[in-house]
Amino acid sequence: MPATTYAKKLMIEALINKTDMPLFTDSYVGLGSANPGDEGLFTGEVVAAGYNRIPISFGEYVTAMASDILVSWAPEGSWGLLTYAFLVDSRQGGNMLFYDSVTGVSPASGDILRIPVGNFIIY
Amino acid sequence: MATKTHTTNLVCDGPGQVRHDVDIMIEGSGDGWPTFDGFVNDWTEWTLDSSEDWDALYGSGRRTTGDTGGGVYAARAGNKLTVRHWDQSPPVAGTQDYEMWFPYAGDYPDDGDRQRFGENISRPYYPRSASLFVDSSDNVWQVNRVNYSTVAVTKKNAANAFLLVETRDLQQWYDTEEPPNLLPKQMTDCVAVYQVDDKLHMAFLDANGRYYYQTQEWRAYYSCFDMSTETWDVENEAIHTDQVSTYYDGWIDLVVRSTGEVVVFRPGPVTVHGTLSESIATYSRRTGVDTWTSASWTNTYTNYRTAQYPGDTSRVFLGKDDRCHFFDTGYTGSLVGHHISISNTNVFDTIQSLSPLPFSTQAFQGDNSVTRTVGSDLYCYYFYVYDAGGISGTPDKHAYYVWKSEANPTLTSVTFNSTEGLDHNYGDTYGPEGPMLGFKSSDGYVNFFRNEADTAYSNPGDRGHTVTDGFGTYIYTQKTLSDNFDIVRDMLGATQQPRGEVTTGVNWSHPTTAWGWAYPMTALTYSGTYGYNDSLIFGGGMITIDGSDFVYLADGYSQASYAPDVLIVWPLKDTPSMRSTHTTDMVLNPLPIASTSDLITKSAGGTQYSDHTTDVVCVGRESHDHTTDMSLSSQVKVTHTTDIQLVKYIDLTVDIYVTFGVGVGYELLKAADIEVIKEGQKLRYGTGKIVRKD
Repeated sequence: MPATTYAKKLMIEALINKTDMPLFTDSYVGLGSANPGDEGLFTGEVVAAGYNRIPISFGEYVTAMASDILVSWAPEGSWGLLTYAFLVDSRQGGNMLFYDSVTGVSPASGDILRIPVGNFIIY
Repeated sequence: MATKTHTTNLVCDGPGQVRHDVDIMIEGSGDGWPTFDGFVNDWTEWTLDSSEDWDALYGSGRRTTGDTGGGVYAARAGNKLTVRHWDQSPPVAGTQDYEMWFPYAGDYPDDGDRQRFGENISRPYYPRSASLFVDSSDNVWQVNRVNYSTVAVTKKNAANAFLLVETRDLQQWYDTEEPPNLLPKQMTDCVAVYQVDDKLHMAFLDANGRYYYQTQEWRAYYSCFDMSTETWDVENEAIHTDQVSTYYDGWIDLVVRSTGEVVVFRPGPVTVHGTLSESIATYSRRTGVDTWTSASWTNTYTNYRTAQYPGDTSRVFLGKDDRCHFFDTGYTGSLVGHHISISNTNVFDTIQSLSPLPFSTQAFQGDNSVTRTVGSDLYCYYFYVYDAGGISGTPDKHAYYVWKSEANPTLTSVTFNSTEGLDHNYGDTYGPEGPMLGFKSSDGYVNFFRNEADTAYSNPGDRGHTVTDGFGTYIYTQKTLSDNFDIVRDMLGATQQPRGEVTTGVNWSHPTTAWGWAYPMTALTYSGTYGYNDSLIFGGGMITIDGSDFVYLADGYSQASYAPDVLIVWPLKDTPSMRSTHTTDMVLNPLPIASTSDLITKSAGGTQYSDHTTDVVCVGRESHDHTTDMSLSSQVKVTHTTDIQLVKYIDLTVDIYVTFGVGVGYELLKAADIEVIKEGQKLRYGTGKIVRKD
């Protein structure tokens, strides 16, 4: 289930008008090497030079919602094998909203790891 | 009989003529040409009527091949008037006005950088006789000879003018014997200046003979001028006097040790052999006021007529720990040269012969001081021209010695030739032209001026003579000790016409006027005629003002022997080179690269290639934002791994399919069956039926 329990709770309670959906000012994309699971755990998130969660934005939802900015990282060393990407509501800590597996990649110093415009899709 | 028809612009006193048919044209030759004493300090820039046809002036009053007289001509550059004058060569008493000097009033340079700097300065008079110095208050000074017997110290006191502060008259001891205005003495090449802080240490060599080949006496003097107080600390202190020689042609050079001790390199005692004489290479140390200690080491030359100014290349360089390196040259049946050095305790090392032999050089301080520090070692440079064809040949090589300053150093000679990318041989004949002048710029690089001759610069028809080569002047730079002098740092100008107009149509980076010469060098000190420049005596060099380097040269008209026209000063910087065959980098600094395609290297008709081992270095670039970055067109391969970094891009795709599950648990509460009974029908408890009573 790519939506975390936290996200589902917010969405469902908002939809049924039980509670208001909190207003997210920014959302960030992060990378990790382990499945966060529905709990949205950050235990596999990258901890290495050159890594930070990076703000991301999306276009209007029609049948899907796609990122509309380029996101990129410049590793300053080896980051190991990355297998997951996720969307989180804070630059640090916070709550994971969505996640999914990606094709495994092992960026190293000198590489530029990017999520091009339109390549982060939620539907 | 003089004729004056343009009195508002020109005052002409004396023989000659001034016509107005083409505005101003002054002609003269031989003994009859005019004098212009009144103009020396009275020059103003003349704005001319643009409707007048000044072009017609060109070609008037020029000296032609074989002309032994002098002359004056006027020409226009823009709306300004240039009047030039030349003397006879060699000077002959009574036929020239030594005080006459006309500032160059042309538009040159017109690139906005170069400044006419030397108006109203006394013109340098002989080789090695003019150089600039900067005091601790950034005042610019010139030391130069203004005639046979006077050395002047002038201070730049305005944006574009020098004011004569002091002159040092060297003629006293001849006055009663041979008044110099009647029998001028020969003082060829015999003024040397060495600056330490605000002190200008000067050594002079003076002689009383009218001609260089007659028996005469000569003396060596030392003086010191303090630029901060504008007074002489030492005046005319005799180093060596009353030396009789049968042939006068000497040298003098000096350095000042860190202890303040002055070391002068000069001709020593002379032995006369009939019509010949020998002098011994000698140094003299100033160990106290009016106290000199001397030592000699070898005969330096026989004063033989064909020796072609032996001694001109005798020089002294200050090395590491106050070691003094002496290079003497002379003629003893053949041209010879030696190196010897003394330690700071004045112990000689072993004399060694020079090969190749320096043939022509100059003794500006900047050239004496070109050193490079590598670790704890100090390397010295000695730039010179030598004659590969023997003493009677034409100097055809530019070269330099470089050595690590120590006892018995290994002298490494490096020769520039046509295969090293230094000649601009776009025409038929390449040739070095004139001595070299080395200097060290504030960026730590070692540089030199040099002139080059080539038909590409030439426009014989315009000049009205048969010279085949024109000349261009360049600054070449060596970045490190192991590099070649293969960076064309600046192009100073060209004679005749810009080369670019001849070969490619590309605009010349620093245009000169049609008659503009850019000669940073001193006289060519070989015999014979080489083009039209056998008597050039212009000075040049580099000064640093407030941390910035400025290059200067005396720009003159080559035929005007002993008469450079103006001193031009401009910031030293890198300019685009029209040609690059360097094997050790290309430096574009600080010029921006503004082209959308970044860097284009073009060659005019030749094979375009790039063989740099370190490729292209862009120093100090703050950003690199080209989306296409670098385009290598028609490049077969790129073999460098250290100079070009190709970044690997890794693109991720993240697809998150959000699904919602609705888990609804429900139950159906089903109603019980209803049975209709008849009236009177009895139901017993426990039948489980709901009876409807109709």
